[in-house]
Amino acid sequence: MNDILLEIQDLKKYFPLKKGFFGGPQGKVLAVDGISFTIPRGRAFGLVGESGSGKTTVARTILRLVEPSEGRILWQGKDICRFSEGEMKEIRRNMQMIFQDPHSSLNPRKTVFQSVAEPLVIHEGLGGRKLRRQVEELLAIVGLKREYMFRYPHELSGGQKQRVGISRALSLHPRLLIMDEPTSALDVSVQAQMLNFLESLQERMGLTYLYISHNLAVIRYACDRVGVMYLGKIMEAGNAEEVFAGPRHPYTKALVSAVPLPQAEQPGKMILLEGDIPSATHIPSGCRFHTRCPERIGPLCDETVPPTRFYPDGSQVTCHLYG
Amino acid sequence: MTPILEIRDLRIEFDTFEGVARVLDGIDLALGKGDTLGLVGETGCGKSITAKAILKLLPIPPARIVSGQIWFEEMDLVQIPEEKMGSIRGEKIAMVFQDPMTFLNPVFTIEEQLVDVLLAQGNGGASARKRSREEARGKAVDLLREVKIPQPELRIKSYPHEFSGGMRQRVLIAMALSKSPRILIADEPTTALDVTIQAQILRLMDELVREHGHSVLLISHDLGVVARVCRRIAVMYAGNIVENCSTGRLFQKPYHPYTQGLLHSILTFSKRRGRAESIQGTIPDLIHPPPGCRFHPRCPSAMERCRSEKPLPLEVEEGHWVSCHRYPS
Amino acid sequence: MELGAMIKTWKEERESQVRSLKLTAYTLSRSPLSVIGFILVSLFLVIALVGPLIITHPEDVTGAVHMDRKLQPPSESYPFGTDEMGRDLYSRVVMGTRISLQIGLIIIFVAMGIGIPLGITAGYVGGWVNEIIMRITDVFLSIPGLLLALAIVGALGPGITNAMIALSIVWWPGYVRLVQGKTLALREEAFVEAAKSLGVSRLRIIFGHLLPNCTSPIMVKASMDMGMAILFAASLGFIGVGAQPPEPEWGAIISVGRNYLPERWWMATFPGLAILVTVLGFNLLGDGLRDVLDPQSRG
Repeated sequence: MNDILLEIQDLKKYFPLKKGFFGGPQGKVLAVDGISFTIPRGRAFGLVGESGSGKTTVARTILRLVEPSEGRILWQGKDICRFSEGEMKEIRRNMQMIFQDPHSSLNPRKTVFQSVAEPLVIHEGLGGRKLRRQVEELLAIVGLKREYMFRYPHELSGGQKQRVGISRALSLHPRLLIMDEPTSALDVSVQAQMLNFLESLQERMGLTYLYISHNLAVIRYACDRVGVMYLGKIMEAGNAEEVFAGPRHPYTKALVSAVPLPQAEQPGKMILLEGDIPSATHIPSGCRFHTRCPERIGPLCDETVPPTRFYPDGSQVTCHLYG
Repeated sequence: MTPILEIRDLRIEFDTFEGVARVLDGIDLALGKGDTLGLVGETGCGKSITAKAILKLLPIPPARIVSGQIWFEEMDLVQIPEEKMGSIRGEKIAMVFQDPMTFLNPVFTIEEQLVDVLLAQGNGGASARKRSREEARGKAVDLLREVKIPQPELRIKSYPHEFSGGMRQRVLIAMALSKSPRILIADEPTTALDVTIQAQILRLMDELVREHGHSVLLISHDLGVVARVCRRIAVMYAGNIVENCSTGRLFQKPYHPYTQGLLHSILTFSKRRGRAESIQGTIPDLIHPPPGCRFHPRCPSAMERCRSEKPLPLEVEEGHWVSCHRYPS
Repeated sequence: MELGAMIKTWKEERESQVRSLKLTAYTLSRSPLSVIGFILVSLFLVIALVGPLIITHPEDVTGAVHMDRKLQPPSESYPFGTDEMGRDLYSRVVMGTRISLQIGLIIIFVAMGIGIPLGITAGYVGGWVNEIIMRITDVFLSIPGLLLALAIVGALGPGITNAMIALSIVWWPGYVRLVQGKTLALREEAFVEAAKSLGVSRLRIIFGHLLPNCTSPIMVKASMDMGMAILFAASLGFIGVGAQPPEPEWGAIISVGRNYLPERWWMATFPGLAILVTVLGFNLLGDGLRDVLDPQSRG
């Protein structure tokens, strides 16, 4: 189907734990433990989860900044997991990432111009006036005036740095933009502005988005579809509005109820989860959420991995309550 | 009823490379006894500086308290010497900070750090009673139990890095409450925590405060967090308090244009899925702030008067204060 | 029109750099000690540069012998007095500045030339390459510098060139360690990942992204090292294995002058003061630079 730009099939990423100079790997961190989802062209898909959910690792694995351990990454139908560095160089033009911390995603020793120009110089061999004009255009797209072109990152605000990062990512005309916490470094009143801008950019340039965030408000605002991750697996996925308005999985319910709303009356009771998020080195058996689940059925949840149930509208949930 | 803490016309300046930044422009704030007050604002509004100023934790220089008073227990904290502050910090006014990892010493166990805090004596004051180490150890375990850390007798022997973020924050809260302070100041206590852990900590703080009757000043950029914990909210913008009222009032009937703009611009996770509109313009340069009302360049209802005259706080309704020329006296 | 636009662009590009420099200058000027350091170092450099123009007895700098004037105390014609060969001490000390500068610069540059590439390679490539480089570095660092230099000079024979070789060998490991550590830290930064994801080649990442970000700590270290290198060179000269007479190197002069203490104090004192002031200046400047450049506390 040419509709699907990116498809992830059963993606897994393990990080070995080294013990000592001569010790072999002792145990593994199961950062991503079998993730599958699809992103149709022109849409915005969001991965939401807390620490240890593995969502950032998924993003880096898709770009092969980190090598996947297992699974397939299908870009327009082709599995890029097996691509060589050379083949990846071409693919990388199509997929770009906006990094989480705008303060460290720009080289402090390069001016805005230099940072944005670099990919153009490398991939298209541009120089001189042509290069300057391209960079000016790219900066204009993200709303940065010419006067910022020769500034250093420390002379820019967080939002401006973020925009430079976006401008740089757009320089190679990618089809997919992966956004890792695009607003977490920004002020609250500016976050919506950034998301609005990203949305208009998407329309103007025909982009497809993958959002990664722990902030449910951001995901709900910006995404069509969402996948809720917990300790390396997707617990629930589907249409963003439906998943958040009517969550099925107990974890999603707890997440949703935990978000404090800026309003006088807090609706309903906060579902409080017991204990802490388990470490990714000691993932609980059976359903990995069973140690904190307020709707735990019994030993079934402790011992057996729950099946994933698919619904006709494309949503899914991985829980024994729906098995 | 006299407030337990009252800040009057506090002005603070900071020396920087580009000039003198007037970070607090004469703020008035009162914390009632047993009350929970939230101080909200965006980056650079001065909320953290206010908190640190109360406990005189600001580096002087480059900071400078130009004028104003901070009244606590019939003392002006601005005037009293450093030696006397020792008996107030941690004893009468305690603070919980944002990032627990930087406030816990990684080479000492939780037990050692808690015992240190418990045994530390302010200069004079009620805790001049000597405590034996044994007694302090016992009290430390009790404290951990109070902040709902499971198996406190065992966990107390751990090191900070063996605790999760949420647990560390609980330890910090335990430390802050260990001397039964009258006032607890929490500066972005849950910002670094995951959403579900944040919910736990907020609930914990809520319960502890109710049980022990501390007065709380909670600082946050997150209006949702403040809405959950606080009965009153003060909104800060560029070194001024622009609105101060009960939580319900703030969301139902905000008066100040900045508050209104802020509420419209923030992303809310709720059923309503409209588009958020941001406030035009940017936060002003505190070295060259706009004359008159500091918000006027961005205010959709700015008048002539706003450009030249700084608005003073006015009680527009009972318990609801606004600093804005739109509401004449 | 073309030229005008080009100049405009050039000015724009430099604007930010000028601002950075101004900020550096401002921050430095805030610390009186750093200012003192800066002044002392500038003095040192100026004297080294204009040396030949300000000395009174150029022939005394090397070789001339005036036994009739020997060991005279400081006077109007001989501000620092004369040495055991009747040579004007003032001229010799001034020219010694030049020698010290040369020695310092050569040692530092050679050390950087070896240390920086090794450090970056170790930090970036990692694995066993890193292990090998770092362990060799550790071996060198475990031997006290002066001792190592003595041993090397002992093997090579005395002389200023050999002293410089020996000191360069003593100095390069420090740079390896500094650069390796910084590279390790930088490797994990988001902008390096961004560069990778944009298809920037490894080589370009090393030279375009990693190296430029190492310059701050390197500059700090280099300025501190200058002082120490000059001190070490003088020490070797003092022992007799560095600069050889009649070279007017400070350490060598003191080595002879110490025999005439305490009555004929000037021969040991003036070069000694020169060393003191120079090393102090570089240390103060280095300290000041460190506060300015690292951490980068901007406004």
